[in-house]
Amino acid sequence: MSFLIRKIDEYNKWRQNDILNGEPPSADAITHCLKTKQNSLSFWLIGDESQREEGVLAIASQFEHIDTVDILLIDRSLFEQKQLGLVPTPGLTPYTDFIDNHFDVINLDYLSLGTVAEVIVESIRQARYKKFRESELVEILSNGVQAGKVQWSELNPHVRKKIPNN
Amino acid sequence: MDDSPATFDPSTLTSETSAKMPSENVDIPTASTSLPEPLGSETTILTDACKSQDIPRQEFMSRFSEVIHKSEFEFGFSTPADEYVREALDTYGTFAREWISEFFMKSFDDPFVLSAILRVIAHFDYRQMHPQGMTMAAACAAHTDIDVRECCVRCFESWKAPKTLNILRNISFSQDWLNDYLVGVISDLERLANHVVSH
Repeated sequence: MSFLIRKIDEYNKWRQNDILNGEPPSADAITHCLKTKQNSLSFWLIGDESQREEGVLAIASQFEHIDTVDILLIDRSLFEQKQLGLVPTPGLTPYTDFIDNHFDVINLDYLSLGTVAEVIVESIRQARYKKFRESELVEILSNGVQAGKVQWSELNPHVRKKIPNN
Repeated sequence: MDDSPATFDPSTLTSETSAKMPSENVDIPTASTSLPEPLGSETTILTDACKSQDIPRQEFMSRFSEVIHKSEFEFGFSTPADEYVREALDTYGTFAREWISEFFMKSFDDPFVLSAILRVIAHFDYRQMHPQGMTMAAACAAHTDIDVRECCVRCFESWKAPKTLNILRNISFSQDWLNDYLVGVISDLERLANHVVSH
């Protein structure tokens, strides 16, 4: 089962309403966490749950600061069931081997953005959310640098201060 | 509406006013300087210095508010508000921290501004924000807004100061996900404290 990964900024907005018991997500959740660019939203594809840290590495290696982040795994089949089209686009990440794992949901409009929100709510209900603390991100980034997946020199200077150079 | 990037304008805050800043090396009278006269004059100098900060103080708070409202906050990334505070700290040191603190208190009923301030100060080192930053973050632990409460934990997590464990151990939240986060941060700081002791 493959998954899509997305950083949700901010998880607490999704919990403003009781979405676990059927309430719709708040407007804040939509406007804060589903900001589209050119009517598209960005996701990273992973083969299975064991690859979650790979997706997090692709996301966190772009950071200017290592801040705790809320990460959501979304079952890819949910997108297919809802007829949300995924298009491969090169990802912006120093994790170069993962660039081709980036996908956009494109041509979003008022209705389909709501459908994406439904998919996110369903994933939260499936308990596929995890908050990655700074310490965990430091570990993921350090391991990524050590394994040669990400070049230390390509990390932001603020981030480099916290990640050992091999 | 002005859409120009929000940037720090040192021209409004430097030269005359910064020249009146008290020196970091003010020679405070010691026990051997027993005459009351020097102590009185030092107090006068410091009082005058504080008064001289009133113009940049007002300017800072007005501009900081403007920059915050123009910034797009996203975890993992810097904002113009970070840069504004960095430059103010470089120029005014502890005065800037006091102004942030004053602006924070004035904004206590505005969760957006409060969260923004906490997000910004979390991006600075513990020493750069001590002690006003810790007071601000601790004051938010019981705020009614959950964003603000989460940002409180984020600050202490980011500062990585085991000496703040006594604050975090006396906080609890009713939301499981937020309380789990708090417990994780406490655990990280305890590990750090043990690491420091063992080295």
